[in-house]
Amino acid sequence: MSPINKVRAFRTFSTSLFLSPMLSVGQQPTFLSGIVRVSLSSFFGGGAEQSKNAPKQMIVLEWLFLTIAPCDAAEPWQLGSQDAATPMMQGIIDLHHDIFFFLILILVFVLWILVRALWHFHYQKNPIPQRIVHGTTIEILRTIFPSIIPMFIAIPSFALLYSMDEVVVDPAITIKAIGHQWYRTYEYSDYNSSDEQSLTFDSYTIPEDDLELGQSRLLEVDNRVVVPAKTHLRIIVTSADVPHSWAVPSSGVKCDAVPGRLNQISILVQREGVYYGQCSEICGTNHAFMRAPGNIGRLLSPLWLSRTTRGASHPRSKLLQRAAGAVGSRGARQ
Amino acid sequence: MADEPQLLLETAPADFRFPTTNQTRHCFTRYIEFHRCLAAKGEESNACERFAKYYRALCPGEWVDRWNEQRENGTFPGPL
Repeated sequence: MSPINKVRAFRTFSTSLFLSPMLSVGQQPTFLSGIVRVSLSSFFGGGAEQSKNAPKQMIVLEWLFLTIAPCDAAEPWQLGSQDAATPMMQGIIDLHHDIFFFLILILVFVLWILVRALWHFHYQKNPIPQRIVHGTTIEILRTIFPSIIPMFIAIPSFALLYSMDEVVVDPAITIKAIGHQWYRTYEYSDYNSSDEQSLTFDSYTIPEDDLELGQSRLLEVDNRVVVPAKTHLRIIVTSADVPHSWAVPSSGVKCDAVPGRLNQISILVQREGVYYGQCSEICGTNHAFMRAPGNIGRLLSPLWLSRTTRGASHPRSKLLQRAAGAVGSRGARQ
Repeated sequence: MADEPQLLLETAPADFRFPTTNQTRHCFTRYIEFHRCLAAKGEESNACERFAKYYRALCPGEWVDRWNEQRENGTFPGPL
């Protein structure tokens, strides 16, 4: 097992350790209420109403077999990335680990040289210094090696960067994400037969006062974006007023929304789940607060898609309304 | 399941003329292509529906509305 894999395995291990009790209660992970509190209450069977229905065996089983619970939203004291949901994000995480390999190698080497120099050239230990000011071999080495190392870092980095732009296959669905101050409008118009029919809905962040137990502050929105999993998606990102940015960490996407310009990103979501994101461009007073445009995709299987997109030719299809939350509640929630 | 109609997943394909992240021209070109096609083949022709589908998939509704308005007023900036 390579050191990188070891690190990742440990991370997954620790994530599953922390998250498995939460998932065992059969609800959505309650990131807000704090990992420690939830895990303790469900472990000791006390207090919290969530643990009422949780069979104790399940908890034990999940602790034993370390069920992997993906991290799709920010956790308290989180240091690493959120878990990858797309190949792109997996690439980013892998690149991060690859670079860290070189980084730590260099760190250790430089520290070693530094400490060694401090130790050996201490004025008490070495009162009469040698007068060497020039050394061709070491100078060549210390010039060439540092210039090769950035190359080793740059090659995978550029490969990843350009593969993100590339649209290799024809996408199956186009979704338009249009930024507004301070909400997002989503349009699904692949199945329109006229210019007016577009299935459009607004997505507002739920204000702090309206949150229900288990919802994440500044992440939860009223209308989620529903997209199919394991399908090539094209997301067209633009803005209607000031620059915004559509970012979902789990899918490795951060795309600026510029008024008058359409930016395309192509993603393929590999697993089903609820993914959270926030606006990543300072877009006005409420950018960071309640009206920060949160993007949430509830990503379902292609089976769901086959049921729903057929209904989508009738734009007010009940099924799609239910899937996407209340459709067409423009301005319903301020 | 057997009698369910066949589902065709389709949206505007990747276009080699617009290989970059910026798809603004892609949307605009498809819109123009549709209206040029209509002008060439006549309003009743179904041959242009393809282009209509493409520009509807790519362009924000607001943009299409504005362009439609501009075409009616004769102020559309593109070559139609």
